[in-house]
Amino acid sequence: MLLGLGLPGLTARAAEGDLSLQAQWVLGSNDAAANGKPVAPEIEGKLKKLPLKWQHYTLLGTQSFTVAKNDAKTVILGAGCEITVKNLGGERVELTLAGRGKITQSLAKGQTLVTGGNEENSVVVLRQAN
Amino acid sequence: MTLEEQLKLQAWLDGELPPDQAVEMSAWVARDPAAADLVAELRHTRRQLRSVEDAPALPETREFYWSKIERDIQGSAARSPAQAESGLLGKLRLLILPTAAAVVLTVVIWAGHLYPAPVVPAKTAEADTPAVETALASMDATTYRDAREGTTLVWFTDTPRKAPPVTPAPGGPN
Repeated sequence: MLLGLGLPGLTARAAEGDLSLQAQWVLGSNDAAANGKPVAPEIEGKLKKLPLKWQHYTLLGTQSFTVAKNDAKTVILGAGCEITVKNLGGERVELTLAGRGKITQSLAKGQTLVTGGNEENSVVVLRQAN
Repeated sequence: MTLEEQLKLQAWLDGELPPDQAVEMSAWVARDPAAADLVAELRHTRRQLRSVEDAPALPETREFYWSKIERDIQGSAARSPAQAESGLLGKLRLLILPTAAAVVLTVVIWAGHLYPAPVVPAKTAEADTPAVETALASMDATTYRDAREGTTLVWFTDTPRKAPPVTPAPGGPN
């Protein structure tokens, strides 16, 4: 009985400070008939409000993962798209886009971090998992 | 590698291929060393050509710059009705506000001495401003923040130090 009451509490404490994240690799294009799985309408709406030159977005890869506080996790979203996310605590993350650079940013629920680089038609979208 | 394949690689590098073909080309470059070498060579050539262009250095593309101004104007237009004030009310405000601010400041300072504020993580706009480091010295990063949507865009641009390109690079912000 005591064990049954205590375990959920212990589990909740262990997960405190962990960040459940979702990273998506998204291809941008201006071709309405582009093949591929379209991104979620919510994400597409956010991307369309950014000063990017594309009007249509399809999903190339997605990963959901959890990063413990002060820990880092490397995720490969597809060929040539590798990111590393470090949980700095207080809902702040350090996102490293391989070969491009590093971004330190608060990432509370509902916030979205989008990054990419020239010579590519794709962006990485990072947010807390629902 | 055939001439057609070489031309296709160049088109991919220029962002001219449709999405499905672009994905195929990415995979091909990842697994074929000869293709990867050609891509590296083309990128190097492009960088060298850019470095001799006599162009003014801009931190970001013209379209990106103006789109930020446009959004700022839209944001301030939405706020302006609330800020409208006139006549006696406005003059009274000029007197009341500084007085009220002085009183509040005095109370806050006095209370601060009694109850020192605990250290809490910053939750202001500053906390939402990303800190960006580029992987290479020749790279630039452009940041755009849409506070209403809670979205931050960081765009890395590989730019030669001598003369950054003026025209938007393929795949870059519009």
